[in-house]
Amino acid sequence: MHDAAYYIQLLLSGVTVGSLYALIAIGYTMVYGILRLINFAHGDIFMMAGFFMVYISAECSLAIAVPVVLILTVILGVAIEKAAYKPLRTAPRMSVMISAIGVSYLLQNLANYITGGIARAYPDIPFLTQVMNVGGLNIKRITIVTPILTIALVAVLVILIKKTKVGMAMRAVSRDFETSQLMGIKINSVISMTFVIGSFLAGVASILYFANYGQVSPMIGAMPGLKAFVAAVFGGIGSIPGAVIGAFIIGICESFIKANETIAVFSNAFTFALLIVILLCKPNGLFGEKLTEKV
Amino acid sequence: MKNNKKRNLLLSLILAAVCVAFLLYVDKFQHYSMLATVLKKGAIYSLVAVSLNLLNGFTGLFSLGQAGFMMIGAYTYSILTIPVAERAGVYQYFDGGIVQICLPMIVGLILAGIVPTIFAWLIGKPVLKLKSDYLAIATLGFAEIMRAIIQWKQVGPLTNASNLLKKFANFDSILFPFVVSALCIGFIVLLINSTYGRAFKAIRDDEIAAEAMGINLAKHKIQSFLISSFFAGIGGALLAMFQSSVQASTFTSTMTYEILLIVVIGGIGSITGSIIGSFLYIACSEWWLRFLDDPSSYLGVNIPFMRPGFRMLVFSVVIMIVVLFFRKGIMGDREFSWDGIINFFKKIFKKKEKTAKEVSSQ
Amino acid sequence: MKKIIALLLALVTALSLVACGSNGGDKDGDVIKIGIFEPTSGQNGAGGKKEILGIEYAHSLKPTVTIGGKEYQIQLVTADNASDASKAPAAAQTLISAGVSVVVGTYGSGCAIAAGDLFKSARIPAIGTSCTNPNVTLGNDFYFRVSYIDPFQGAVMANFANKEKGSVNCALIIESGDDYSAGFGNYFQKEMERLGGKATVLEFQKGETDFSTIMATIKSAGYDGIFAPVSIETAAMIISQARDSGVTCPIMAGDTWDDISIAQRTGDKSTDIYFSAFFDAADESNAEGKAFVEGFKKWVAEDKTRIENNGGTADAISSVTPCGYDAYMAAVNAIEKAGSTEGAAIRDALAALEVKGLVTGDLKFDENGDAIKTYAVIKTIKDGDIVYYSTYNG
Repeated sequence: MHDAAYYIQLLLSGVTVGSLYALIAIGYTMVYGILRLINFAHGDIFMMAGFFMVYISAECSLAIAVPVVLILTVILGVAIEKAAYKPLRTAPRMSVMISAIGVSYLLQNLANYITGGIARAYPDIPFLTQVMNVGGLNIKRITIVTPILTIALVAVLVILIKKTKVGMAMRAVSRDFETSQLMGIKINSVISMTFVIGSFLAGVASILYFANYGQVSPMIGAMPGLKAFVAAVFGGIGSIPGAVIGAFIIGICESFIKANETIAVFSNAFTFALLIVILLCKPNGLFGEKLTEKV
Repeated sequence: MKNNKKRNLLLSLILAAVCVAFLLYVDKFQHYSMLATVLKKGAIYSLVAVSLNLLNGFTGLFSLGQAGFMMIGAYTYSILTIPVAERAGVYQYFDGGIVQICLPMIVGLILAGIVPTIFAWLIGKPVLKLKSDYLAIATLGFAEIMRAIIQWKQVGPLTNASNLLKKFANFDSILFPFVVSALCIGFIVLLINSTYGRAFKAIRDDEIAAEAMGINLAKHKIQSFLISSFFAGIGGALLAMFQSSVQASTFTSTMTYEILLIVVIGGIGSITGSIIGSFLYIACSEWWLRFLDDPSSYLGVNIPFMRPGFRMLVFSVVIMIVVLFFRKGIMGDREFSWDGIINFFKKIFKKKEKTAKEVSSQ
Repeated sequence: MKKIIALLLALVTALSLVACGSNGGDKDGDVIKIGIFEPTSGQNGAGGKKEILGIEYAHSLKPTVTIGGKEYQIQLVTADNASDASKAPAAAQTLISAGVSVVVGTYGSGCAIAAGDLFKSARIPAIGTSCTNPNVTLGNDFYFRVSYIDPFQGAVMANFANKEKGSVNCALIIESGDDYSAGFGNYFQKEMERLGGKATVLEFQKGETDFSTIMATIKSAGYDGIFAPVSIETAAMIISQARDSGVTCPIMAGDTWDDISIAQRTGDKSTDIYFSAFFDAADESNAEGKAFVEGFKKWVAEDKTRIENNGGTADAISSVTPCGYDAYMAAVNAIEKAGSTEGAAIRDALAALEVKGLVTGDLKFDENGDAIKTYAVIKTIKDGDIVYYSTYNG
């Protein structure tokens, strides 16, 4: 009943959404890999980055606003770690997770207060939102840019982790927190670095995401955040390529589910169903390493 | 010792009588006041918070599915107690729906507990095998899935899809939520003080040690999960009555977080704490801190930053302070007891006496 | 130490409950409270703020009411229902607890329906501003309404789409679970089918931001018109995503879209947009309307916050603003006529009320409590501004 163009359009929008989830998912997977913490506030950092852009771009040009927004997002991410997670490093895992939920609640209420609870228009980034006509399909440039940029960033990140000293330290810490500390690795700077990378990518994702949809609202971070987390679990927590592939699968499936009127209501629930299935069948995800439970 | 018991019983009875008298007074003379609202909502949240505490605080299972079970309870109750004559109006897009009976309130309330328990049993076995944060995210996901199913058009004749359910049987007296909550919480207290409760606590403190002691982990975990879901369902039904309408979109993960924060404020592992936390949280958010949202001037000074949203901001900062610096919350894992209170006052009294003596001797 | 703090906290809680309880129900001698039940945040926050401006403007003109020869100050009490049917009951509870005599609001039928039974059981009459779903007042003799209702609005828009725009095969974009969206869409669909056209429902979930799959469906199925009775925030996304993905057919909607922020957000993508509205500020034939427009613009220009709440300009008037104004005036008239601050008496006065010369015309409620209205304006967006397109008078 539908033509090929229709399915290509669905696929493209799935890939775009998927790559955005991927950028957010990396932040989750890295933090979880090192701290064993689901950073519930990560989706809200993404949302805050959107608001930074709204307010900063009102004051200066885009060329200045984009780097400033990224820097502010990184500062926010690291500040959250220092203020809300670091004091609880020796506390039970449940306390840290509650703290993360508290931070998420705080950021949402902060955004609500500043904006008065109303969505704000995101500045137009003409380079990204321009529409091109390719073979009868209307495609925004962002649809092409997003996956390419995502894959490039991931490649850089993988090299960083595999080849550099910081990367090696990260891998060591994620393997064994205490031993690496004994080996002389500065745990705190490694953790900060993780948050720097995660928040930076969330900032990039926020620019691409909100430029595409045109507005930011205080509660918008929660859902993409949770989905990105599922993507991270799906791919195997701690594995960056796994998170990216998981995100693409979720994005594409979601796009096709939404297009089917009968089951469109499950577009969010599907993600969680996938999560439960993967947790029960293959708890370490697609590419996760097997970890043995220590007594 | 025996004397103490008698005394405590007497004190408890007096306290209960005072509470009932107070509630009757509010019910009669201030039926629509903010106080009545806070009391009703506080009682409902107490039950839900205690049910979550049973799971998180007493059994050490970090579940984030509470809003989902509340939703199932709320829907079960409202679907079953809408008068048949009203159904055509409520289910206007589904030709009056397929349920054409109207059960009495109490039966509806009990079923509102049983149905979520059945769902909990279905998912419990596989999900409870997961460890801490995976369990949290899986139960959170389960709640989201249930929400989607209820909103699905295909089950619309049963659940009214994502449209409002209303006109169901409701309570009028503010005593009603108190009585129901008190009965339920009383049951949970008895349970916690029984061998089951001790087994739960053993699992919380050290799973492996508990298993070595001969406690059947899977059995006890699922028991705790089922009981918690049962009471969450009843709490959900009470909440539905309080709002006099139900919609699936109310029961989001934000609601679970809110309840979790109440438990944290009250003290993880303390029933009394959860109850105090609930009333405090509801009273602050609905009533005492309302003035923070009002930009009008105080004592002749105009405070520009006080505008809508400021209340919730202050509130979340307070919560973060509790989470970071007062990790035990109000009660820690202790409970309210008359002996405790009397000892406490004795201590203060003695201290004063002591200091007074010291002062006089000097 | 912590023990002491804990005990003190518990004690303070108990004591303040008692203390506050004893003076909570008091009503000051010469003050009467009118509750504003509106969204100031969430999806329709921008619209709610504009309606409140109308109410506040009316309040500035008529801040007192005389009951039994005694002059009462009117105090406005605002509660934010956050454009969310699940948060509306709490907001309604707040107003009821504050001891208001009558409630004005709200924008969006979902919130009105969710809170209606609470007002009814507390015996406080409510006057709906721009909630157009018939179920707001149906079966609730305490809810009234000053605007027209969806069966009328749906028919107007279906006729417009079918006859004037030639859209006989429409896509109907609906937010699932929203009473306004579902109800209005339903009446549009019925009328469209009666006229021999077709309207296919495409649903999206609350909070959705990505409409590209819906647009792909519309493009692929070749619908020749879009009807989207949705909130203000969603409107902007639907318009821009439709135009971006190359959907060029006319996009039509209802009263919620009469909000300048939609035009501001979508810029030059707002082409071929039509929606029904309650009132046209440029219409000079109505003397009361003209006086209102002039007075209101001046009043808004006086204050920075008012300009901000009006969408950053003092010149635009959304058609929901006069609804707020009219509802407030109806409330004041009813209180005067009832000669009482009691909800039930005001309700009876409202049922028999007849007010001439309000901004959106004369006001009289029918047996359901709905204003008898047969007039609608259709507006369009041109060069980033909302302008008059045509009038429907039936």
